Amino acid sequence: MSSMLRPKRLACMAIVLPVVLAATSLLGCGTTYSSGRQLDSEMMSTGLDKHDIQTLLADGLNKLRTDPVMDEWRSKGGKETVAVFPFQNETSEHIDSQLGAALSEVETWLIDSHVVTVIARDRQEQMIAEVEGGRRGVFNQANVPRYGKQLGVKYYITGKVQAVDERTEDMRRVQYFLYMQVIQVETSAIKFQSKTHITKAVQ
Amino acid sequence: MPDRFRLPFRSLLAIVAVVIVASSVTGCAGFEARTQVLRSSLDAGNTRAAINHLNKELGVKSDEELPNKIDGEGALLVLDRATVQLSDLRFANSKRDFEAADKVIEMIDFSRTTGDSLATYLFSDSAGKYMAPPHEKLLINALNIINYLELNDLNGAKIEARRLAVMQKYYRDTLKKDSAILGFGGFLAGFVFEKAGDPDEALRWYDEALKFSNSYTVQNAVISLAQQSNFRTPRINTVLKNALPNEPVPSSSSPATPSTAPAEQTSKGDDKADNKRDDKSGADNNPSAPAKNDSEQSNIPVNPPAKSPAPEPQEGELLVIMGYGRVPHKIPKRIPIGLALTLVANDISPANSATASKLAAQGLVTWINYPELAPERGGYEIPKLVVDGRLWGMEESVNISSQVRAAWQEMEGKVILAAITRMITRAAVGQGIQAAAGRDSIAGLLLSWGTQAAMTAADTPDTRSWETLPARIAIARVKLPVGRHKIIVSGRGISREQTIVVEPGGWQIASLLALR
Repeated sequence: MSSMLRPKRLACMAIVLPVVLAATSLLGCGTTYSSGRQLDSEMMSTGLDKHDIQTLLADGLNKLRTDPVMDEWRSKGGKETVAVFPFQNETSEHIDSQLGAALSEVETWLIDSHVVTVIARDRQEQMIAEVEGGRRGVFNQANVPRYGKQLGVKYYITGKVQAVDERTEDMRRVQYFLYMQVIQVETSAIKFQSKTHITKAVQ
Repeated sequence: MPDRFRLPFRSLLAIVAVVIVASSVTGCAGFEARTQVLRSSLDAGNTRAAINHLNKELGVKSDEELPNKIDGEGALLVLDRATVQLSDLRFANSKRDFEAADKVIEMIDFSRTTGDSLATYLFSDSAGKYMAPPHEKLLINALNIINYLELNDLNGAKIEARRLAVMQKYYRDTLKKDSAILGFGGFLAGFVFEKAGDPDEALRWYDEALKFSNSYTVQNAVISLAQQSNFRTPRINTVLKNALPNEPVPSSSSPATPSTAPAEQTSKGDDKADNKRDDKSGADNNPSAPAKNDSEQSNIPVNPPAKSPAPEPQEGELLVIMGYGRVPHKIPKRIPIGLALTLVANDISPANSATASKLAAQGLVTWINYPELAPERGGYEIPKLVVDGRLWGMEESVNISSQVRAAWQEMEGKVILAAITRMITRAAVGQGIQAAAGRDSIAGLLLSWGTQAAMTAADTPDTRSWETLPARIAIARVKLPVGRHKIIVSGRGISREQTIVVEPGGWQIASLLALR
């Protein structure tokens, strides 16, 4: 029998070579794990991305479209004034920029509907500053009714995002709930409210 | 040619394999070596040089930039940069780094596989993905709360507090672990919710903090908030019961004393931000300078931590947070195999113990490499707070070094055991090559030694850790009358001077990490 094929030596090669080859694949100067741009993608993050925001808003705005308050606005011929105030973030994720995008989406939707007159954002910020004091007042959710009255709008739209955040050994899951309200300034009555939800998980 | 000098085909395979292994592991300096310049710069009080070194190691050109790919070591470097930038009062940059590292470390946790453990036990201590211990994960959110408070962003601070709550629940409910870091994190979260006008949530967090220390600062906060909330626990009731005899125990039915400004509204002088960045002075660029006011301290009246409840309308509040020293970092160590076997006597299997002892007796391998903790730095410093020329006492909120040591003690046995297992693996591979080449083959013997040497070189002790954590953190809450005040926070030869403007019912914060 050829010396190469002796069972004992074949067995030694069968042990040595896989171990050495495995070492070359596992060893190295530290492992690498790609992130970077993927940090903000839905596959790599439990935050809300553009698609998530649009999904959350679409359901709520569709409900608003068919709600009696929209009929009421239509009957006034687009003269009713509405302000859209920032949505409150009550989650465990830093999604303030995404909520800013959501606010812009709602504004755009209202403007495109030609049903109401939407108050410009810079005018809102000016009014907030007057209410809160200082050159650039900090938005205070608790003072939203005051902002509305100061602006002289008939209605304002506001909302908040809450979340249930859970973590296990191999997964983190965040269940988001977006609440959107239309409130009449004069009476503080809630004329419309919707709730939509979405779940993000990383594992 | 004599048989013992011939190189059969199988030996050539072994040569190729050794070359592959050696080429894949050359240049593998441990993490501790990568951060040597960082530690030296911090020891010299030169935070700018420390940040520059970290930028270079991360492969970025500016303090604001993050690398496109972040691996386990990269996440630690980003954390180090976050801490150093916090100590350098670059709060926005620090916040960004903390949040990036937070996500990466979490993803690394979820991506660990059996292969990581296999690699650690077979080839190299640092081959597996980095697994951050509980104290590091909790401190990411806790320290980032400081950034948000410094930036006057209570909303952001609340988000970090909620993230801290998620980790707290995970460790307690899933892993059945607890950490004294929650004493400090709980205090910060309680402060955030207190100032955001949510006394119930604030008391819940203060109760968490009381679990780990009977901090006078926390007790005062509890006594103050108890007037505004019905939330009670046995610890809170104990605090209320032990309140000063002359003061009635506050109940929720008592008229609430307005202690803070309306929710989300903070009082910040318009020039505070400028003061903070312009007035950072002290010895951070002059490491030999002593702490300021040393010769004057004997004439400075000392005020104890405040005892009275919430600030009156003509008062505001100052929160001071000082981190000082540095936690022990890991360094590579070599110990004789006999000592290693003694240390892991309770953990190693009898078969492995016998094999290791046999190898040691043969004189083939007598040393193993593994990491150990270096001493901490500066943990015995006494931080100083001077407000308008008067010295105020500060309390220790958390001893982070002790958490680092506790985490190390928990894993030390396994680390040494893995080192012994790797040693056995190397010896087995070497013997396999010898057998494949022929027992009388000199070439086989050389190949066997070469392979073992290459694998030994690749066996890098895992010295990865968050090295720029302060050894200890001290806190103080000081009630101040409305108006301008000069504050000096100092320790380890580094100080921060600032003029603050206190408004009625408002609050200010001054933080300093003296990482020397």
